[in-house]
Amino acid sequence: MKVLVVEDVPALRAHAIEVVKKLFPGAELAEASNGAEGLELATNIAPDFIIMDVSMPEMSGIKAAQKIWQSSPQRKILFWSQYHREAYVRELGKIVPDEAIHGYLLKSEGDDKLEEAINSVCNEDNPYIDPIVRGVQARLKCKDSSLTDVEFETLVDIATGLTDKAIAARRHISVRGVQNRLSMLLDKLVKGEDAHLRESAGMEIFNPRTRVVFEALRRGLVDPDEVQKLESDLTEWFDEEFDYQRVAK
Amino acid sequence: MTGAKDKRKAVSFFVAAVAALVAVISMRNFVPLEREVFERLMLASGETERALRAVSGGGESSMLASHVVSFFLAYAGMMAGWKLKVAANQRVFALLAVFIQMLGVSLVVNWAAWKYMQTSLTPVTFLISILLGLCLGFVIRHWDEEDIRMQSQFFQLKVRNNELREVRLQMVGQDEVERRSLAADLQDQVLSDMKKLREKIEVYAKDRKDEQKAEIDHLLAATMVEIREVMDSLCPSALEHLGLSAALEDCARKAGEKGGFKARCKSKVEAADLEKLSLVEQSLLYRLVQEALTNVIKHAEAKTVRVNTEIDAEALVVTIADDGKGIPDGRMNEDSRGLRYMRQRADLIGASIAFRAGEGIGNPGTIVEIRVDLAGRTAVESIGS
Repeated sequence: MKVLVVEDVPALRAHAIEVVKKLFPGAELAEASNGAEGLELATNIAPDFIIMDVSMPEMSGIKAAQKIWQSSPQRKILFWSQYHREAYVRELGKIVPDEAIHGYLLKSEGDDKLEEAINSVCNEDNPYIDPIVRGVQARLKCKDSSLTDVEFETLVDIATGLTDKAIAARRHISVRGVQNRLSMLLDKLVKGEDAHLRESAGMEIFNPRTRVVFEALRRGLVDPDEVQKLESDLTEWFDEEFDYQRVAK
Repeated sequence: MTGAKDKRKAVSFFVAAVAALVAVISMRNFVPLEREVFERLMLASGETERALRAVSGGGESSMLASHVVSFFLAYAGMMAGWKLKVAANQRVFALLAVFIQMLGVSLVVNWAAWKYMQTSLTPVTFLISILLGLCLGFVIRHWDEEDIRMQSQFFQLKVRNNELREVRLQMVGQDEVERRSLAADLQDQVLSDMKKLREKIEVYAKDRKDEQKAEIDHLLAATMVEIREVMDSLCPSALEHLGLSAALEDCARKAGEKGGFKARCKSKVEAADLEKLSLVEQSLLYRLVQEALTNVIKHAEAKTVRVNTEIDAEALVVTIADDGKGIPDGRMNEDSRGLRYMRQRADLIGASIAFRAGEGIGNPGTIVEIRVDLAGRTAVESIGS
């Protein structure tokens, strides 16, 4: 496992390296102090995972990431930023390749969040967008504690019938990130039943998306009173994102 | 300037005298020839040979008179050349006319001197005096024009300079206003939070309760966000990191959050076209849009604001259209600080700003159009690329 930390402030860089060492004791570590250096190292040593500061001299983290993704679009990058504006998450959502997994975490967050983000992007292949970044769709809170916030968000997106691409655009993550989120949710709600059944029957029995929604209904994960709100959230998103006004039905 | 002019007059007077003198002296060698020409002329005009012979001996005594007359002729020629105001293409004819007139005068003087003072003057000397005088006058006139031109340029520059200084002063004044609002922001938000924090920490030091700690943590995070916001208004980080399109969108959203309206952005501009503007020009453009949005927050009471960026006839056009109450009476206070600020900034990047009423029914709204000509511009290497 190779990890690259790109950060211009030495103290922060040392801190990030410490956290990575704690999480992955055997990891091979490399560090760079600006975007240009980071880009060069990323091409030379092909790290599995990159922690990238946004504001750096020479070349910003976003520019560097863009170039890294141009040559290796599957690279996992966690942006470690001090900017809480949603614009950053949106723009990153636009430049992240379909195959990549990325994360966005504010520096003001504690170590536990940093570990969580690294773990999510690195081990679970699950995009991590800091919930504090304002504007990223008012967070949906799941009342049932069996699902995490992100899982619930994915459930809502499936239930409202969005395609992978649409979910990616709405949540500012890559298509692969969406697919990973879906399969994680599937694992959690449908577990191995699907696979066993397929083996016995010799054919696909369930449509996984519909099955997930059904399972959520059965377990009472979605509050029927909130369905209307989910729809109006969707309408709001259409208006905001595509400047498309829906005619009320 | 007048001192220099007087001096020049004196100098030219002296030069004319010297020119006349030179002309007279150089013509002395031709005196016999000249006298013969003169006598023939006189004979032809009907004078008797005896009358001519009577004064032919007085050649030497005519020298002084000749000097004096030729000097005045040279001086008159110079003045004529100097003061003559004619268009360039007629100058030759005008000078010729003056020359012929003066030649006539010289002949009359000559004849009168011969007739009544019995001295014969030298006409060729006069001729040369007139010519020299005219040339000299012409040269002086040329100097004079140059001088006037320089003077008018000098005054123009001075006026322009004053204007520039005024604009600069106004801009500094505007910066001052901004700085004051920034200081107020720091005072209101950050400083008061800091004070609260200190109190909370003091309490926590005594009681050591977990919820107090959580409160402190929360307040610290909020203060950090506030500081970041103040910093962001100083130097929009999104512009540097994400480019103009995203920065404008962010700016519109921010204004929407503040003014309680929906912000809708559309950009149909390629990044390559935006790169034709330098980072400074981009940030000035950003400030212009920001100011327009501030006006919307302050005056429009809008529900939706659309910020569109597009290329039209090789110009970058940013339109900020709101659906608010529009421009009162269709007239704007052109003298307001905000509008002056916008016009001056627009001037700096060679942009034009147009304000017009929107087409909405009920609430007409206002459309602000900022247009930057991109024709002839090439991509500027932006910082960080």
